[in-house]
Amino acid sequence: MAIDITDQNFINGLIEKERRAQRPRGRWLVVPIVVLTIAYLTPFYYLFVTIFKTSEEYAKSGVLQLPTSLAPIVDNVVQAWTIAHLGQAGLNSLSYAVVGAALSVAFAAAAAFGMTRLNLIGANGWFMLIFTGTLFPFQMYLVPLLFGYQRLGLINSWLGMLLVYVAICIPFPLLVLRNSFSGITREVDEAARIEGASEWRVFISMIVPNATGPLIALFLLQFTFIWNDLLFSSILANGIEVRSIMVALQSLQGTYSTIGPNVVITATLISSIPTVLLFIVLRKYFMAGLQLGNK
Amino acid sequence: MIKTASATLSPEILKDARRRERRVAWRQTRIAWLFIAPAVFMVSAFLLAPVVFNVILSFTKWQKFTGLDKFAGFANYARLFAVPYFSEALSNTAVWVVGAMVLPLAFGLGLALLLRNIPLQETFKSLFFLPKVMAPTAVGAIWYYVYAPHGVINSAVAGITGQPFDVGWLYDAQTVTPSVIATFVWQTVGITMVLLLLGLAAIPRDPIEAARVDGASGWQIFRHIIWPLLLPTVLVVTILNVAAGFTTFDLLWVMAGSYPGKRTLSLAVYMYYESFSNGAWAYGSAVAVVLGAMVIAVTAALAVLQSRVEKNIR
Amino acid sequence: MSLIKTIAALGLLSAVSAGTAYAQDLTLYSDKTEWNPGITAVMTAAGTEAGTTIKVQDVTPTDKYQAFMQTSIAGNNVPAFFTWWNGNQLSDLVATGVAADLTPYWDKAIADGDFSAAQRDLVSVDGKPYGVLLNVANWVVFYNTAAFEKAGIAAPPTTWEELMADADKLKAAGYTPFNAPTSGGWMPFIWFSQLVLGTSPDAFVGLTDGSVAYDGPEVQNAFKVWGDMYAKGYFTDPREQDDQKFFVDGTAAMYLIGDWHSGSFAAAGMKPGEDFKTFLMPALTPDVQQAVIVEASPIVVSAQALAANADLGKAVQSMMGADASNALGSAVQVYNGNLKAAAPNATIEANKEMVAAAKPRALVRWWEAVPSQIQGDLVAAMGSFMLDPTPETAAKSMSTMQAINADYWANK
Repeated sequence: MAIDITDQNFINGLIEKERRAQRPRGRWLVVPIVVLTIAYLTPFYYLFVTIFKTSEEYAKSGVLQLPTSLAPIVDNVVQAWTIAHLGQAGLNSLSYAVVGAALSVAFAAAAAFGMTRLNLIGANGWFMLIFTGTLFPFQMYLVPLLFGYQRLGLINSWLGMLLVYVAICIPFPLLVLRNSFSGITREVDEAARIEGASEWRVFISMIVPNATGPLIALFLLQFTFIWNDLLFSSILANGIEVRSIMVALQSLQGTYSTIGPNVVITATLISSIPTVLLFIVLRKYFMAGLQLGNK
Repeated sequence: MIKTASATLSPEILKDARRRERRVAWRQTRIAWLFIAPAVFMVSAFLLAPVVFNVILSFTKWQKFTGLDKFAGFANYARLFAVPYFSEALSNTAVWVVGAMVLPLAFGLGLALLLRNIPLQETFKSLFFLPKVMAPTAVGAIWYYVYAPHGVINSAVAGITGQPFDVGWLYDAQTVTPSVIATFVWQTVGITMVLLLLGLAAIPRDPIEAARVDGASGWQIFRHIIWPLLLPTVLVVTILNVAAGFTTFDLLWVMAGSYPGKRTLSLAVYMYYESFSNGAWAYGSAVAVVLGAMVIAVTAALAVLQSRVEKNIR
Repeated sequence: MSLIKTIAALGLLSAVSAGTAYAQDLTLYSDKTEWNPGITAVMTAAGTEAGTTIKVQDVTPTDKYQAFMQTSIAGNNVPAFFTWWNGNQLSDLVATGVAADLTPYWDKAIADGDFSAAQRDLVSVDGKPYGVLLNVANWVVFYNTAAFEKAGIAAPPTTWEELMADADKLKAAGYTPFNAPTSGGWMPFIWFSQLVLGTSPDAFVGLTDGSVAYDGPEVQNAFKVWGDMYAKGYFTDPREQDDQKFFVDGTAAMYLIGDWHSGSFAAAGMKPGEDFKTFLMPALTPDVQQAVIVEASPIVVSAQALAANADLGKAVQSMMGADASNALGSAVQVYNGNLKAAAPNATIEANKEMVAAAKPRALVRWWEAVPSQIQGDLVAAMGSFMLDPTPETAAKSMSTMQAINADYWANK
């Protein structure tokens, strides 16, 4: 059937269709979205009313009721802080997360450079070897690590924890950086080499600056992973001096019958502040980080 | 170019050039070794060697205080089926894997389609993503009280209906696994949605517009245009979530901390319990081997599927 | 680049500060949070004797504490002092070689009249003592005197029939008869083992040495009685994590537990001997001999720590003195059995006399007697029943327990 483009009805129809497509779709969608969001955020609401309650108030009032005063948070923080030694644990986790993420990304970057920018014989084999490290569930590492650490005297030590975090955090960044380094044009480093730069110079001043985006995103992801870890620290370093913040938090939760949910929930909030703050401030990099694994 | 040139070159020169090339290659390889050495060492020493040792361990009698040197054959593997707890943990793990595979994807896809092209999209995205930034330990601690006998859910239901409501979500064999999975979905749906939104954004608009002009319904457009193009992303998300379903530990350990049967809530928990609460290290290693074999088999199958789908699209 | 510098500085700073906080003190580890003030008093005095300081660190609940200690032992990172259990739990521990042989200190304590040779046997493996007594307790039924009065119960029950009749009266008066928690990862065994004990003390012993099956007639009977009691509403909500809550807030009228618990009732505002008293749990039928469970908890000393610091011997000796016992008793009302020390409260004194008069068969707790490898798995099955006290769950729990038990003894 031929279309008569002079047909006014047809043109009107097209215009109408176009307008419908242009209109911000579904104003009515706002309702389900808002309802869903509220339901979704209820646990956060619970968190924020609970941290302002005393233990007695928590026991007597409804769990979703608003607190009568904001003052109890001070005591809740003090209790959580002193009973679970959150300060020490937070410092431990911060050092594991910062140093561990930095080292693992650095090692991964160096390896990715070696595999993509130098004519490494058997590069694929080496890559597969390291990539194997992402295949196994963590449960397969635990018992041997515990006893290996016992033999080496790394158990309950800061260094021991750091080493395992660095190792765990290498394979994924390597996968990502291998891709992004191969995307950098060859001329960049060839030019530097011709001018007599060492491979190390090429790596540091040519390749790394060309990949700061993925590097920062990877650092953030690994930082978050280490900060959030419970499993490794609970087994390899549960001493107060070296344990991670999540182990400290878990020691508080559901164990002492005398500590109210208000204190535990406050500790939960404290232990989440660093990663949530990082997420809010560096959201762009987080979201970029999500895309890294897909390419 | 080179080919035509080489025809005129003598074999000696060619050989020499090749030798020089090889020398350069070896020189670069030796330098490259320095670059890859730290990563190779760390991964081999702290990840791969333990895996090998774990497999060896599972054939010994090591438990609590003795027996590392005693060979047990397949006794630990035989015990898996002699004691009912392993089968319970296995079936709960199956529930977990299916739940983790289907639910975050279904909800995440729904949310992604809902939130696409609405105002304040970025804010909603961030809000739904927030739980993923928090540690499972922290999320579990909050939800422990959400599900508590006098917790948020029971109080809310009682408040709305006016009837006393008391379900022991985390204390009942029927409800404990679904409850923890619900929390897992709460935590995972945001990242799933964001990944799917990225996938959706990459789908070209022209075929969708064309179909719309042709009068295709929303469902037809989704079924025949969006879904096939989104499938690679869906499979990536599925691989991530299935692996998480197999190995989730923190959430279960924290949320079901006071449930007496917590050890059988998943293979990951069972492995941890047997190894580190019961001191049955060799047996726990056998559980870990079984878990590892299943995770690798399933994710490998999914990865193959994913690469096939991606190839078909191109 | 400034971001990277900041990160580097931050990392360095926190690494340095985390490193400086890593100093090794002498520590006593324990899962007995409620006794912390008493243990701290004893260990402070002991530390002063030895010219050092000994900190007290709690790890709870009990199953987590056991895991912590196992990894510490396997990791060759044994604390200088730690609380433990006697029976099989102690012999397993002694087999690792981490526990110090305390014979010289016990010899002196017995010579001084602080302890008896019979008490030494409570913490001995193959004739050698490996622990300092922290607690010697009788397992009795605590009852709320006000509740008994309100329900019109004149004297505590002496037979099972009377106990059940009293439970009905209490129920009618608005009380839940028995407080029965599942918390801490160990408490589910209390009623299970008590009901087997009430059915047959020999079967109770047999459960722990492989000679009696966990789905045998005695256990079947125990589960039947237990389930009937649940059906009648005799027990409190097992989900409560504060184990004594329902007893001290007056919801529950009775609580079967070791008399070391009297101190925490007192701390919660109940006066021993007035607000609560005790009686011995009767057997299920009159033809069964009455039995009482005696619990003895030792503090174990690390052999390594003792060898490294001879002065620690003075600390150990101080922990066995009457002063230590009195300090423990006055702080948390726990009695370690020291013969020169006074019983910390009226209830514990009354229990001593009650046991001396009734002469029941004294037995080691199921917890200490059962092989430690299957202890936790069995308790989990008992706990499952408490959360869902139906005949189906009972049957499932029994078959699960017997499968675990049979597997253990077949492969031992």
